[in-house]
Amino acid sequence: MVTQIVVASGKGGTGKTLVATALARVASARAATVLIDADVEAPNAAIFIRPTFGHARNVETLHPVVDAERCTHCGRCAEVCAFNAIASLPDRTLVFPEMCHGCGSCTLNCPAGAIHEEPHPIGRIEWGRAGALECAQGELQVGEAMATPIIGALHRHAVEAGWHARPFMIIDSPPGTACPVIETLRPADVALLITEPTPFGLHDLRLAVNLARDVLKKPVGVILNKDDGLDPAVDRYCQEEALPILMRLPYRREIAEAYSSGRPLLEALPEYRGAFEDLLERAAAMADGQERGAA
Amino acid sequence: MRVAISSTGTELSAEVSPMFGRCPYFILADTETLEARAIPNPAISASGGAGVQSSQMIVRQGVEAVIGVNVGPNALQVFMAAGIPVYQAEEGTVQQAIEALQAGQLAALGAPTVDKDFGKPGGASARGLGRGMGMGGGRGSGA
Repeated sequence: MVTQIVVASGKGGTGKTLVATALARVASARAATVLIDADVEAPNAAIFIRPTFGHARNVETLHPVVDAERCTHCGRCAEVCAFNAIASLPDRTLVFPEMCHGCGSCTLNCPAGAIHEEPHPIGRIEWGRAGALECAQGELQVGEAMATPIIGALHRHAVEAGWHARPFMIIDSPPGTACPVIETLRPADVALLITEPTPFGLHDLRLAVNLARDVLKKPVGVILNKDDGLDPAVDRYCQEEALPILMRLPYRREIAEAYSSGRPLLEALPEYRGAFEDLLERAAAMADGQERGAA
Repeated sequence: MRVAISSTGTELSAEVSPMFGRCPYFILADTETLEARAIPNPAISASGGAGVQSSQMIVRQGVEAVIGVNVGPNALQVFMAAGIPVYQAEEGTVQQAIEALQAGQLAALGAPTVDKDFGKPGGASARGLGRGMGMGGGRGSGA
């Protein structure tokens, strides 16, 4: 049975990829592991893992196309569009593809049968391996707005590839708390929320906890990165909310230097291996319900 | 001539709204008689596509011209497709904007004045300090 560990954060730039890639390395040394980079607007785990992606698949959404001959300009398509992607004018119907979520309501509801759907490429997923570690990443095409279908394609690929039979799946999430993050967290057995001890870090941690723990009912553990010990507010919040802090990484120039030159953390600073082994243990225990988190 | 103006209030004395797709009201006015009525903007709190929804509504009101301060790419494209000219007003009241239009002082817009998502919370700002999510105009496909 797989343990799916999603590394997420409310605030960007707190260390999701740093932690996810190091955690994947530690997990992979122990048992078969898959690392999925679901931060499809800026996938960068590959920089630190250096996999060979031998396979790729395009991801498409369906966009409506209006047949001008059959359209009666009744306005039903614009009325049912939840995303305001269609303007029905007295003698023309305009489709705004970049607003379209591909839900198909307009096509289903058109009384004149004047709308059909055409596939529209929005990005792709790739997969391969780096030594024993199996890897996949999604990439949203520049200019496209919808990351969620690509993350959905990664989840589907994980099922098709039989990755649910592997002991560990580590998923690097996009930042924030919007749809792409919800889609990433959907199959998670445990969510690791990374933050930094700053007012911004705390603010966005609250949002991420609200999403992962309160809305999605996931076991949640916190990782405090760039911990300089100066601002106790995140610690205080975690204590009040009974959120376990599973790991602390210090505010250290060497970590930033390794990261900015594309060096894997555990290669540059192997002294953190033990901390990541502990993190893996505790995350897996939380996923099994053995360590009581806050879920 | 019947015009629609993006407005902050319901009267001709209200200030024109700097936002278009998310302005609180549109004033529909007859430029000759200054007869006017306000309609609340149905798209004011739309999560997306406010420009598309509000401009479609205005086109369906049968106006012959539109006055706004900032008009985004999607709304502008809807008006262009409908053959309705869009004029750019400065700050001031709705009535001043109508008088400026009558006096031929307002320029017709040929290109959007702001990015998509201007006026949306967290969206693009007029000074281009947003996240650069704007898609530019001219992407809609007509039928």
